[in-house]
Amino acid sequence: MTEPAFCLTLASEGEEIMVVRITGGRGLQNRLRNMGLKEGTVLKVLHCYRPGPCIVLFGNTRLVLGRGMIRSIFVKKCR
Amino acid sequence: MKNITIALAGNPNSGKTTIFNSLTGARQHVGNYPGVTVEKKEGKLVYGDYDINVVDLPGIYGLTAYSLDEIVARNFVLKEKPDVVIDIVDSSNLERNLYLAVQFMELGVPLVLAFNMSDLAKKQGFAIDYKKISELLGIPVIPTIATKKEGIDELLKTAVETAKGISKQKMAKISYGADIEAELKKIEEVISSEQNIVNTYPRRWLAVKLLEKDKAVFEHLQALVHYSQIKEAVEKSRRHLKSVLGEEAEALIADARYGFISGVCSEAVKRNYEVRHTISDKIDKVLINRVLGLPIFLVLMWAVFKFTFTFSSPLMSWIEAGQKWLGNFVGGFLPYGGPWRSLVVDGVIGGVGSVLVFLPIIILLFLALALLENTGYMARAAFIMDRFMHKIGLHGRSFIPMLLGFGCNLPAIMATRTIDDERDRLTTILVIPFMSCGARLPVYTLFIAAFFPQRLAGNILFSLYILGVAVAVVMAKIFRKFLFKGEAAPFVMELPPYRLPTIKGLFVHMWERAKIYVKKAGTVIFAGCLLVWFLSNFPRPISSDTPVSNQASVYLNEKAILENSYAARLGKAIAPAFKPLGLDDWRLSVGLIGGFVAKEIVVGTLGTLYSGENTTHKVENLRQILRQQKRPDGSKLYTPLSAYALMVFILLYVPCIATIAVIKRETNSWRWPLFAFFYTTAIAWVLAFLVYQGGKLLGFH
Repeated sequence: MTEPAFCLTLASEGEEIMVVRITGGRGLQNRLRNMGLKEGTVLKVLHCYRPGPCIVLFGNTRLVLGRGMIRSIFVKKCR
Repeated sequence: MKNITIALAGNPNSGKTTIFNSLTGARQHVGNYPGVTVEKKEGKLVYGDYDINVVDLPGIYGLTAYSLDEIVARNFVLKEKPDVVIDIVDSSNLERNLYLAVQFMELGVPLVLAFNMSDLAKKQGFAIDYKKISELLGIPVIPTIATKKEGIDELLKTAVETAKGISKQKMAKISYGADIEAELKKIEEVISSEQNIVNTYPRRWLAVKLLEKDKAVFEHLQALVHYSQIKEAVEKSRRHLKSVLGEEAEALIADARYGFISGVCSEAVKRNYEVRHTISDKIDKVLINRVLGLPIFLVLMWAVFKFTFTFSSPLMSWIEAGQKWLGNFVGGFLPYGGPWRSLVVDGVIGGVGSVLVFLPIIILLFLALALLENTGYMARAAFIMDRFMHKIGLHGRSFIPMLLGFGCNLPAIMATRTIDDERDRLTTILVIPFMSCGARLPVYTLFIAAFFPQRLAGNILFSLYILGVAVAVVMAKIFRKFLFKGEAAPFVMELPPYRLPTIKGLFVHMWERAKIYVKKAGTVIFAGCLLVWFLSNFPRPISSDTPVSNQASVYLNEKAILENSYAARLGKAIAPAFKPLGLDDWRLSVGLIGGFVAKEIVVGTLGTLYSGENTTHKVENLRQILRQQKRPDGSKLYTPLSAYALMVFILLYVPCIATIAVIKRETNSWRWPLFAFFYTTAIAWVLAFLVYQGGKLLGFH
C-alpha cells in the first residue's frame, strides 16, 4: 500500500518524510534542486514555526523554508 | 613574472571567504562586476614566478540563469576565462556541493576542488578517499581546513600547476543517459552552424543549457541567423523527452547530475557512523526555540549596541583630544581672524575631525555584526524573524538586508539583490533608510552625550533603533498593502552550522567596512564640510580680510561673517519649518541641509558653525557648546526633549545622497529615489513633531 502524499505544512517536528512532488514555478524548482532538495529526498523536520518557516534536514544540509515554500512541497511518510 | 588569474567559487558557507583571506591576506580590493551591483572581491599574491590575481566569485549553488549571482559567476568564467577555477567544497556536505562542481565540469574550465572542512567531515563520520574522488572526476582534489590554514599551500601549488597545464586534465564526462544524449547531439548539430558561438562557448555546455531552457543563453543567441531553427530544435527535443520520460528536461538533467555524483560518492566515501544531532542542532534547540528565540535575539542585538557604545567612548575621547591639540597647534601658525586660519581649523580639522572621531563606533559595530554573521547566527535571525516579517508582507530574507542597514544603508540596499521577488525587493529598499545606519550614530552620540546622563545613554540609543524598526515595519506593511500588492514570494535559505569565527575573518570584514566609511569621510564628507565652510564664511564683510589681533574684535568679526553668510540665509529660510519641533535655530537647519550629503556631516557642520562663535577661539568640545546655546529670550535652545526630537528627525529624514544614488541604480529609475526623498522627510517631520509636542504635554522638557 502506498502512503498518501500530503503538504509539508502538515508535517510535524521530528517527522521523517520523503519529497514526492514540488509544485510552483521553474525558478523555485530549480533553486531547490541546486540546493539538493528534489523528488525522492528524505527530509527530517527539525523546527517548525507553523505555518512556517520550517527547518528541514537532509544529508548534512539544513534549509530554512518559508511558508510559501512549504505549501508547494508535497511529501509522504517514510516507513 | 607571469600573470595568473584564479577564480574562487563555491556554495555559500563553504568557507570560501576564509580561503580567500588566507590566500590573499590584506591585499584585497572590493569593487563591482561591470554593469551590475554584485560585489567583486579581488586579491593579489606572489607565488614563485607568478603574479596571481584571485577573484572571489559570489557564493552560489549552481550556474543557472535564475539568480543574478549565478549569472555573474558564470559570465566571469566564460568571458574573462580565468586560468583556473578553484571550487571550494564543504566536505561534510558533498552531494550538494559537488552539484556546483559538476556544472563547472560541464563548462570545461580548468578546475581544482578544495575539499574544505575536511576535519568536520571526519568528525561526522565520513571517510573520504580523496585520491579516488580525484580519479573518478578527473580533477585534482585537495583536502583543506581553511580555519587552520591546512592544505592551503598544496591547494595553491596544484592550482598553479593546473593553470600552467602541467597536470593535464582529463575530466570525467557526465552522461545524461541515452535519451537525453541523443537530443543533446541533435541540438549540438544545429548550433554548429553558428561558427562564432561554437568558438566562444563549449558546444556541449550550450546544448545542455539550451535543453534546460536557460533564459540568459536564449537571450544571448537571439541575434543569430539560425536562432529560430535552434529554438525549434530545442522545443522539439524538450517535447520528445517529456513524452518519453514523463518529466521536464531540467529535472531530468538535474537527476542525471545527482546520479553521477551519488555514484562517485558511493565509491569514494564511506560513512562510519552517523551523527544525527550535531552540536549545532543542540544549540538551535535553545536559540531558535519558539519561545526563547525572539527574546534571545533582542538581547543579542541590545548587547551589540551596548558593546559598541561602551568600548568606543574612551577611544573617542582620545581622538577628540588629538583633534583639539592639532587645531591649536596648526592654528598657532596662522593669523587670527583671517580666512586661512578659519579654513584650516574650522573647515578642515574641525569638520573632518568631528567625523573621524566616530570611527571607533563604526569599527566596533561592524566587529559585532561580523561576529553574528560569521558564527552563523545571522541566518538564525532570519529564521526567527520570518514569522514577523511575514506579518508585514515580507519574509526572513528581507530581514538580513534590513539588519545590514544598521551598519550602512548602502550595502544593505545592494544586498536586496538576493530577494527574487521584485515587490519584496522594492519594499525592502524603501524601508531600509529607516534602519539607523552607522553614519547616524555620530549625531546620536553627540546629542546623547551632551544632554543625557551616561547611565541612560545605552537606553536612549536603543530606543532610536527600535523606533526606526517600528517605522520600517509600519511602512512596509503599508507599501505591501497599497503600493506593491500581491503575495510574498517563497523563501528558502541554507542554515549554516555554528562555527567559531576566525579572528582574521572578523578583522578583515571590519577593516573592509571601516575603509568604506573612511573613504566616504575622506571624499564626500570632506567636500561637504568645505562646502558648508564656504557657505558659512562667504560673502565676507569687506573689513574681515584684514587680520585683527584683538580677541573681542575677532569674535565680533566672526559673528558678522556668519550672520551675513549664504548658509545663514538658507538656514533662516527653512528654519520656521522646524519651529514646531522645538528646533528653531538656523545653524541646525544648515546642518540638516548638509546631512543630505551624508548624515554624519550634521556633526561636522554643527562643529564648524558653532565653533565660529567661540570667544577663546580654541577648538572646544562641541558638546559643551551645544549645552550652552540659548535663544534670544534666554531659554535653553537644546533641552533633552528637543535633542530627542532632533535625533528622531535625523533618524528618519532624507536618506544620504549615496543611498539615493544606490536606490536609483538598483531600481533603475529616478522614481523611487525621489519618492524615498520626500516620503521619509514627511514622516520624519510628523514623528519629531509628535515627540516634541507630545513630550511637552506630558511635562518633559
